[in-house]
Amino acid sequence: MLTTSGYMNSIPSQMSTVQREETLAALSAVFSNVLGHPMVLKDDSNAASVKGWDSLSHIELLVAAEKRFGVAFTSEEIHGFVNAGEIAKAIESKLRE
Amino acid sequence: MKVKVALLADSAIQFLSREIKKTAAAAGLELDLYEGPFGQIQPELLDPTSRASDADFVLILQSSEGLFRRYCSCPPAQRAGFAAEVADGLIKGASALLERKADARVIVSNFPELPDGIFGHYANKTEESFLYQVRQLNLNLTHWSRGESNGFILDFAALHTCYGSSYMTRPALWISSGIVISPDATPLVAGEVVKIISGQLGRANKCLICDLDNTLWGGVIGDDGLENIKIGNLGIGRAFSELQLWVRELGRRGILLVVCSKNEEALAKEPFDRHPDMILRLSDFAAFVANWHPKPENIRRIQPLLDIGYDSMVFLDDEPAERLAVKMEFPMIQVPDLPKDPADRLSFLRAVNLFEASSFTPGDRERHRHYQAESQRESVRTSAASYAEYLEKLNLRIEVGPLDALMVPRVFQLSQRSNQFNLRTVRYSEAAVRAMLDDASRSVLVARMQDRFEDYGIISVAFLARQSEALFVENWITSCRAFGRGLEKVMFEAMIAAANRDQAKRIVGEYIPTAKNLVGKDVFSKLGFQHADNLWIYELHSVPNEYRAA
Repeated sequence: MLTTSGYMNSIPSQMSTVQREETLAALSAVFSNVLGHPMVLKDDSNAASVKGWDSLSHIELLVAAEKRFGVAFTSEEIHGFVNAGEIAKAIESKLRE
Repeated sequence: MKVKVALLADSAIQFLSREIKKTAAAAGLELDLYEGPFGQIQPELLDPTSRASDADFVLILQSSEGLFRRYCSCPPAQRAGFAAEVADGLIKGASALLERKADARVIVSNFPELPDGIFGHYANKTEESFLYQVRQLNLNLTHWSRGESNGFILDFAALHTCYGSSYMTRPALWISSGIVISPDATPLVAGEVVKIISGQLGRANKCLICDLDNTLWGGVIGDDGLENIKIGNLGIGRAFSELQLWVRELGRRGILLVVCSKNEEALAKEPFDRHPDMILRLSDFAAFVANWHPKPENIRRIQPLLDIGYDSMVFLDDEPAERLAVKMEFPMIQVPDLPKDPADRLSFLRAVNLFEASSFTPGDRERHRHYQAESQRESVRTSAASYAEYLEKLNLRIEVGPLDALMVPRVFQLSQRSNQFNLRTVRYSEAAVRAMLDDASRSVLVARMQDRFEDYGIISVAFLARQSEALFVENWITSCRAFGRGLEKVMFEAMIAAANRDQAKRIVGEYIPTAKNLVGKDVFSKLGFQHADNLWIYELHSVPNEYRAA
C-alpha cells in the first residue's frame, strides 16, 4: 500500500498543477475585489497585463492576499514579486510550512 | 465647502491620504487633499508659491525611522542639541507658513519613542541618546503648540503607546515600500486626523449620555438594592468607580453629562444621593431621565433641553440591544461598542478618543464646582515637608459608628479579604454578619475614612462580644489602605465608649499570629493593654482622660 508521501511523490507535477489552479482562482477573486473588475489570473499575469495593478495597488493586493490566505509576505517578497505565479507560489509554500 | 488639506511627509502616505479622504467624507466633510512631494517638507512650508501655502490645514507627518537617520548623521558632539535643531526647523517652517496665511492651521505629528537599544534604560541619563532627543523633541513641539494658537499636535507617540508598535507599523512595508503606518493602523490614524480637523471646523462631541445599571455601577439597582450594587470596593466595583472618575473628568472639562436609564426614577437617583462610594453626584448631570420609555424616545425629549445636535452626542450603554436601538434611530449619535467585561471598558474608551477637544479655556471648567479639591491633591503631596504635615493637610476624617444593613456586604468582604491587620482571623459569612445587626450581645464598630481627595469607604471593623464583665474583641480587621493614619486610636476610643455603654469593666483582646498578620502584633500594647495569659486586658478604670467617654 502506498503511503501518503509515496502517493504525493508519484504525481508531483499533476498535484502542484491542480493546487496552483486553485490558488490562482482564489487570488483572482482577491485581485478582482481590490481592483474592482473581474479577472482570471494566470501564472504570468503581471502589472503590465492586469488593469489597475501598479506600484500602489501592489501593496493593497498583497495585504488583501495575506488576509485571505492567512500568510505574511517578507519585505523581499513584497518588493520582488513580478507576476501572479510568484505570489501564488509563495502562498503555497507558506501554507505548507 | 471644500476644505483644503496639504499632507507633507517623509514617508509614503498614499494610503493614509486616501483613508483620510474616505473618513472625512463619511463624516460629511469634503476634502481637497494635496500630497506634497515626498520628503519636501521644508520647501513646501517656506515657498510662498507652494500648494501647501494655500491650504486650510497643513499636516506634517515625519517618521521616527527617518528621524533616526538624521540623528545618525548628526555629529556625536552636537547630538545634545539635535531635538532643538529639528524642532527649530519645523517651527520656523510652520511659522513662515502661518505668517503668510494667518488662518491656516498646522498639525505636526510627534515622534513615537523607538526603544533605544543603544544605551537601553540608561538612555534616560544620556542627553545625546536618540530616545532622550526624541522625548525632548516631542516636548519642544508640545510647547510650540501650546503657544501657537494655530499649531496642533497629532499625538502619534500616544497612538503608538496605546496600540503598540507592532500594530502601528509593519517593518516589511517600511523596508519594501517606505510606508511607516501599517495597513491595519491606517484607518485609525486617518480617523484621528479627521477628528482634529473637524474639531477645528466646529464639530465635536459635547455630550455623554449614560446608562446606569451595569454601566455606571455593577448590578441592577432595582433587583440588587442599594447595598449590593458594585461600586467602590464591593466586588468588581473598582471598574465602575474608575469609569465614573473618567466620566466626571469629562464633565469637568465641559462635556455635558446626561443619564438615560430604564428604571424607577427614585430608585435610579438613590445611589447618587445615598451610596457613599458613588463618585458622580446628581449635580454633575445636566439632565437625568429614568423611566420605562424607549431610550431613543427619551433622547429625542432631552435634545431640545440641551440645545445641541444629535451629531455631538455619545451614547454609553452596556446593553447591545439598547445601543442598536439608538444607532438605528440616530445614525449620527456615536455609540461605542462597549466591551462586555467592565474591566476592559475604560481602556477601550480612552483609546477610541471620542471627545477630541478643539479648545479649552478656564471658563470650561469653572462651570464645574468640584474641580478644586481634586486638582490640588498632587500639590499637597509634593509641598508637604513631612509626613505629619501631609496627614494634617489631608484633612483626614475617620468616623466610627455601629454596623447597619447597608454596610453588610462590604463588612463581609473585608472580613473575607483582610489578612494583614486581622487580629484573630475569624472569617464571618455574610449571613453571620447580618445576624449581628439584631444580636444584643454584640456590637460591631465600623470605621469609614475620608480625606480631602478621596472617600475610602469602610476600612476597619471591630467585632465585639459581651462576655460577663468584659467586652471581648472577637476580631478586629483593617484594610491595608488605612495603615499609618492613626486609625487605631479612633477605633479604640469607640471601643471604650461601647464598653461603657455595656457597663463592662474591661476590654479583652487577643492576637493570634498567622503567616501574614504581623502588622497587628503590637496594636494592643501600643494602646495600653496589659498582657496576661496570652490575652490583652484593658481595665476601664485606667482610662486616661483623653479616652474617657464624654
